[in-house]
Amino acid sequence: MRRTNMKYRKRIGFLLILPLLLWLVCFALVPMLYGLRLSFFNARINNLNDPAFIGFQNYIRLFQDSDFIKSLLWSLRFAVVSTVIQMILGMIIAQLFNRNFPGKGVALTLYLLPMVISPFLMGTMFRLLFNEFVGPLAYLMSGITGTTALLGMQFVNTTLLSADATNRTPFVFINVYSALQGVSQELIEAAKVDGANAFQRTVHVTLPLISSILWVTFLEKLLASFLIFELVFALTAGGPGSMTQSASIYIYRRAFQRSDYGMANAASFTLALMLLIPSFYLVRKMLRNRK
Amino acid sequence: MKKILLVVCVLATLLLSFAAVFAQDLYTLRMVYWPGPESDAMEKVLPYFNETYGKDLGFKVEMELFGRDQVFLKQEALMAAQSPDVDLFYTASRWLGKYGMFMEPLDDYLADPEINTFGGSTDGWIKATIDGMRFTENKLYGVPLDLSAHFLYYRADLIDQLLSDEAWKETYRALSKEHLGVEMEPKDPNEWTWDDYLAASFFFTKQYNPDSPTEYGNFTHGKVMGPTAFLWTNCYWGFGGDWFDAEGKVSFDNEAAVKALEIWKTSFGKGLTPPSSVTGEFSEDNEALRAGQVALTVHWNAAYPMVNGEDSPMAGKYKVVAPPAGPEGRFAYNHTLGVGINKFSEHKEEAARWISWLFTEEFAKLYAEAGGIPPYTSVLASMSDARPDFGDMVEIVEKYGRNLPATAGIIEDMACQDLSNAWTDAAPIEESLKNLQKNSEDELANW
Repeated sequence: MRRTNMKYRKRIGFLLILPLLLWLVCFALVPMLYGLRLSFFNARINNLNDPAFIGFQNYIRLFQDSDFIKSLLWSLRFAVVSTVIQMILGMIIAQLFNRNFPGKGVALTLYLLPMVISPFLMGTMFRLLFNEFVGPLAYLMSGITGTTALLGMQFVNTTLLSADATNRTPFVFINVYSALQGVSQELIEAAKVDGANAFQRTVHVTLPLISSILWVTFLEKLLASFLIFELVFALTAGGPGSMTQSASIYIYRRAFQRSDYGMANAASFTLALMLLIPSFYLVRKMLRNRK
Repeated sequence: MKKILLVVCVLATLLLSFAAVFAQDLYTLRMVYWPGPESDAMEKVLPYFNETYGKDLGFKVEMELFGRDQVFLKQEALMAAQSPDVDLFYTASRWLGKYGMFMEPLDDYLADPEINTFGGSTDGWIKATIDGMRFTENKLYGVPLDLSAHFLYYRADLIDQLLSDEAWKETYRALSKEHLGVEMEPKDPNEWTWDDYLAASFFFTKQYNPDSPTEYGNFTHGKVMGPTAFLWTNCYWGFGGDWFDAEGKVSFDNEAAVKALEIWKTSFGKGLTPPSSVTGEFSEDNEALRAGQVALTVHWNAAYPMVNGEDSPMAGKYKVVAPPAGPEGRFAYNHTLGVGINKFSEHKEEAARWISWLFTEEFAKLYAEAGGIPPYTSVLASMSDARPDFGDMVEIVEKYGRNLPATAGIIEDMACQDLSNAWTDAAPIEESLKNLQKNSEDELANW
């Protein structure tokens, strides 16, 4: 009787996840396999129905393409710098919010707003706000930078980092803030009684307790920044030249500006393989946290 | 018995309703269009066509607005799938090399009086725009609906003063001697060479002339996108170069390209253009002009009402002429946006009838009045009182107009990237041109 019940529950469980499974197969696995196949073909819009098989040629060309290597390096630098900045900012802001003050609810809502705005829209807004002649942000920032040309050669990378920080620091903040909410006040009080100052309490009590959440947030943020597309595309389109071309913009341009689907897919899979290790680590860490 | 009677009655009513619906329901021709001023204009013309001719022809026309940035991506998906979902594709003269194979030649349809009942023809249209819509075997693949061309915009009030004020003339001579190595005299912009353009740019840049009323001499578009490369192409043609040589081979690694790039590089490198123009394009140029911060720019005709219209702070202060001349001549880039028939459409004949109407003066007039820019000479000329830029455009395009060939669209992305690397000094000019030459040759070998 018990066994039959178990079998029944398993079947129900399987049926419940079946729609999601079908969805994943149809809209993720099949396109992915099709993309993988295309990466071994010289596939363009003019021959997509009968592309020529060229083996690993696309992958070889990819690693001979200095443009791709440059875009990878730019993405890596951007990911590291933006993630570090946003982690620090997110943690500081979360600490500031981790107490009661008047208007906290409103401040919290306002601060989280950029997170729900699409990065492309954000980029378009920033393009206007940073306009050299009519941009209010460019005008305000000129007090520090000495110029309103925030999208010129000198400041373009800094501007991208700032725009990304505005857009995505709330994500770091909300993760850290929710983790901080779970830290036992008794432990903090005990540390206080033992004579630990605010810095010591943060380093020796709070941070170890939220370290797993910090790791997951850090990795998620790193991966997202490495794959940044919309914000950069809207603000600079990867320019000047290929100065701010991220790996995702490289792929986009290959696929949709040059219609070179074979090479674009080769670049996508190369990127996917490169990100597999941190992704697996992230998933393992998340699963371990759940246990 | 009663039940059977009831069922028969219900079925008869249903059949009659369906018949009535189908009798009135016309086939809907689906035409991909670009959202923006072009679709706003077409939106006003379509009801006229549908109401006046739809019933007799047995079809009506509807626009399918794909996103302005993504229209070609979405079309590419339909093309690759050989989908008959839309009957007409949106196109541009320079994209025919990439997408022409998915479109139907129009010549036979236009020559067939059974189909071309409106008598639409290529007569009356600006020749360069019709030629721009020709692709394999010189056949016509699209109807040119909106003309885009390049103008040299200049602040007329400032140039007038430069041509009459002795102190300004003296400064101009001194600056041209210092920065270009030759003492130059101010000239009317209609007589400018690219050197005059640079000399005037130095003069109107505060860094070099503290008395300049504008902060920068010119605005040079630098954003990595095809249209930026087209603006540079006016200069490239002037120095005798072209994207393709007489045999149709790609041609960038040459002296003309070096010289044209040096003009652009001087603007960026010497700060004659605003620093953020390295990532700037249409809208940034407009804002700079509206703010009165630049004196000159080689820019798109579409900007005219925005920078010179009544609601602009600089209304009426800008005049336009063709871009400056080089040693090998004076050229004004132009291309046309338009529509052509989907090769996989199941209603090509209806699409051809609609196209034949698009070739008429009646359409051109209605479309221009609705805000479009049909390259129909008499229509544009007749509207030059209300839109002075239309009159200028006819003159400039007819006199200096030049297209890029249909295959340019295949390599425009790599062109703008390597050219941008060169003019922003991210890479030496020679290296960028060699890259561009090789990348373009490799790419075109696949087509």
